Amino acid sequence: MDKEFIARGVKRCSTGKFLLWIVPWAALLAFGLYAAALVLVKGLNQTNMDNRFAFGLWIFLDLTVIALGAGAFFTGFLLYILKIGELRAVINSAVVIGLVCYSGAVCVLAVDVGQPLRAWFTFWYPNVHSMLTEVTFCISCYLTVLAIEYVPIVLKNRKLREVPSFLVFEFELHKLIYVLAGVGTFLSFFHQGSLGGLYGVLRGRPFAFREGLAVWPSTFFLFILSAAAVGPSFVLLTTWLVEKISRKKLVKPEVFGLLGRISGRCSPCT
Amino acid sequence: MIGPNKNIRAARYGMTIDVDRCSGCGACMVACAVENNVPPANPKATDRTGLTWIRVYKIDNGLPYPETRSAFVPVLCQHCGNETPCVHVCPQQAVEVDPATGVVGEMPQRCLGCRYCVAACPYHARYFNWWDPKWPAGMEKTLNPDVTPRMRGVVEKCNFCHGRWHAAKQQAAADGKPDTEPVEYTPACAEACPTKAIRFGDLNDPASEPAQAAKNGESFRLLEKLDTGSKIYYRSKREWVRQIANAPHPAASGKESFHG
Repeated sequence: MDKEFIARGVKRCSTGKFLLWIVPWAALLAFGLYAAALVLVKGLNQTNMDNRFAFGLWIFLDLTVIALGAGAFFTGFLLYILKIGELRAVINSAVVIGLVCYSGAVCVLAVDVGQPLRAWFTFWYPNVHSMLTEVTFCISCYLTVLAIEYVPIVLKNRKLREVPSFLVFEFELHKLIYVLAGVGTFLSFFHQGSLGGLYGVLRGRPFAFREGLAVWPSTFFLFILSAAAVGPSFVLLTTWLVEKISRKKLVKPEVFGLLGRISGRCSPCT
Repeated sequence: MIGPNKNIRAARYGMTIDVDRCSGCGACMVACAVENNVPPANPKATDRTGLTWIRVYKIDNGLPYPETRSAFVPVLCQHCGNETPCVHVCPQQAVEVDPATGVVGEMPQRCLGCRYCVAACPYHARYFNWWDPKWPAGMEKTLNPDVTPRMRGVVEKCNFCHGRWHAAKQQAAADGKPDTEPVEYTPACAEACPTKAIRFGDLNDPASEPAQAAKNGESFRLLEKLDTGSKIYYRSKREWVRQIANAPHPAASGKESFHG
């Protein structure tokens, strides 16, 4: 029945095999949903956080996930703004990874805070002095940009291409994609930076507020650089893993080499 | 953020706490909890997840017996007046310094519960509601109607008994005094202290006890090196107490000298 929706030349595996493949991810997702339900129903006392360690390890994990998702903006920047055409091969996977990382981070943040239903207050009563306001603004705006960038991937579907207005939409979107890439790069640069500044601005906490290299205000720029370094390498890793697991050649080896070089150029700076 | 209003003669409420007088009885903590509807601790709460707006710490000089000396230091929100660390980190302006009183106010109804302010406060004076507030049956009748209890998932802290300040303002209005003048009142902790170690007043009024004590050579503020402009002045005749207040590096003393 769904034959029409699958790309030409690809065969569906058996239902049993499919279910076996998704068991680990389904188990992981079920564990995450259970943990989220515990926190939302019983409260944040279910975590090991306390008044002294108010920001738990998992908040750092959130931020790490966002840095890993940086592949989307940086690959988009290199492809659409700097015109490195070879990267067209990985732009789709970069956008998918970015969307997964960013939407995941937003969902986990909603569990992290004590009153998730008040998240919109940040837009209604924004405190322009707070790094967290900036992070919230940029992440939600950038998630919207990613969702729009994701649309062409969905529209690649054979069946959807038969609808003429979708084709027109894709064509028009394609002309706009440079603007989107620019906006995405701008937003990403800022929030990666403000994530770095998050701890740097805690002027009352001397362990966080220190000056000089590797600390505030350098962290602002170091986080941008490290995100630019880790993003392409994460795209490389996931694409390579998918190639190995599915035993299919997806990307030319030169593209892997290019991604590795981009990542390598950025990482010594950090 | 609210700007200063030139038509108001602003107060700068502050405290002086005489550490040498504090016997560590904890009456201030109880009085504060009763006044401000701070719920009893959840049975599962630890000393790091409980709620209290003022906490009496026991410190000692780190020397072995018989030279051991100890002291009690009540620590509440220090109402920092200089680039208040918690105010500028709050993403939704739930924390603000009232320019008319200098009090750092917390708005629990607007608080997102992100705990960025808890991470920013150098005094550990901010407490998060890890549990739903619950009072034992019958005890809810003792709740103070002037103070809103807080819900789970928000941050709360000392506000120099805002309910009492409001009552004093109303009294002043009833007495026909101008609204632009500061009022005199006493927070619950200062009222309850049996040794009168906690004194409250307006630092802008040179005759007030905190203003007098601030000029005293024995006065000090916690972590003065951070330049937070704290409005709580402690005082002690003992040199080692004043030393600890400035938090020397733990490695220097070779011993963690704070006990909850």
